[in-house]
Amino acid sequence: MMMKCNDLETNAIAYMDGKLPPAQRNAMELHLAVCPACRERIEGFTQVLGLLDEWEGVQPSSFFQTRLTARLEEEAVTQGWWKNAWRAWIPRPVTGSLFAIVFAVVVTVGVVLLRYSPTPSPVEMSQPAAPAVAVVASAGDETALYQDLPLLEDWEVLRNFEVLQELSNTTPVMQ
Amino acid sequence: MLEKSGFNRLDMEAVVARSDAELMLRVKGGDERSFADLLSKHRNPVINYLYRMVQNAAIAEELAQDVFLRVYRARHSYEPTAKFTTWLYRIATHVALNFLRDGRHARNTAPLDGPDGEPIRELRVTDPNVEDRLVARTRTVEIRRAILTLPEKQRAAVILHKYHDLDYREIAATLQCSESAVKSLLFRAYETLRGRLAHLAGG
Repeated sequence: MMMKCNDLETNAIAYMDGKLPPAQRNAMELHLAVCPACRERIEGFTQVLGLLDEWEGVQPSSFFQTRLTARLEEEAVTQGWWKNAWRAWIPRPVTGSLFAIVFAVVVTVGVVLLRYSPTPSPVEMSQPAAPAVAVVASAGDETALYQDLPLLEDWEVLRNFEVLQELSNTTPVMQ
Repeated sequence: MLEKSGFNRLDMEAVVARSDAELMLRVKGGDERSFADLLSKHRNPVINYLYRMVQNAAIAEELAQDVFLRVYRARHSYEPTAKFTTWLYRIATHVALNFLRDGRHARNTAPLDGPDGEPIRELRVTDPNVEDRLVARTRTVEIRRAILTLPEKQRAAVILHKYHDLDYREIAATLQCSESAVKSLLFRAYETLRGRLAHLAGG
């Protein structure tokens, strides 16, 4: 197997680490024997690895362990607080399925109550404004009211309201 | 007595032989002592990995605390699907890269040749005299500067390869890339360092 300069990128580090399989190692050595450029690179890499040895490591400060222990204890206390709070809320162990059933019942009842409770319709809620709309509505605007049947209904009620009709021509737009 | 000492010896051997994953599974089961064992075994390597990534001893310790707290918090969900050290260095790399990317690095790191940049509490002090110490210090500063200028992933790959003896598969798992990508990262990193440190190589 012949090795080329392009193969150096994937094999050079493994070669220096002594981790190339024997066949590839032989191929690499054959290539290095005839390629001064690749040989120079490998020598350069070896020198770099030697230089990096000069950068020594550090030892942890004496505070590291103390501080980490304190933080871990704090963590344990926080987690303990959550556990206690949970247990206080649910005094005895509750199985997951029972909890799910209770949760489902609560949600269902809530939905039913919301769905069937007598809530005022939006039109009813805006009723105080309706007379003004109805009173000033001209015949031409009446067709526009067909687009909104509840509003039309309100307008009809107002138009036939006796008290309004008795008011001496105070509602000219309605005639 | 003999029986008792024999049991203790066997027990000791079992503790020594116990893998990190086993210890972590014990931590998962609520054994705090196993966490202390893991901590004492991996504390120095993790601090030094972070120190070489961020090049500041105090910050490295702070980040290492964060790493071990994350390990402790993750104990309930731990599954030994990968080697423990790979998992640990992956967390450490994540913490280091987050620190380097969020801008705190530029604000907190003093120049390499400043007092905070000095590698304090070095493990070995063998320099015979002041002049030699000065020369060694200058060389170290240049080496550190050369590593600091590498792209983050190349820097991590070089540190894990050179100072932590991780193989390509472990580095790949730590940096979450392929083995061929790791070989390529290392080749490019050493090629850059070869150029930048050529003047130191002669002596």
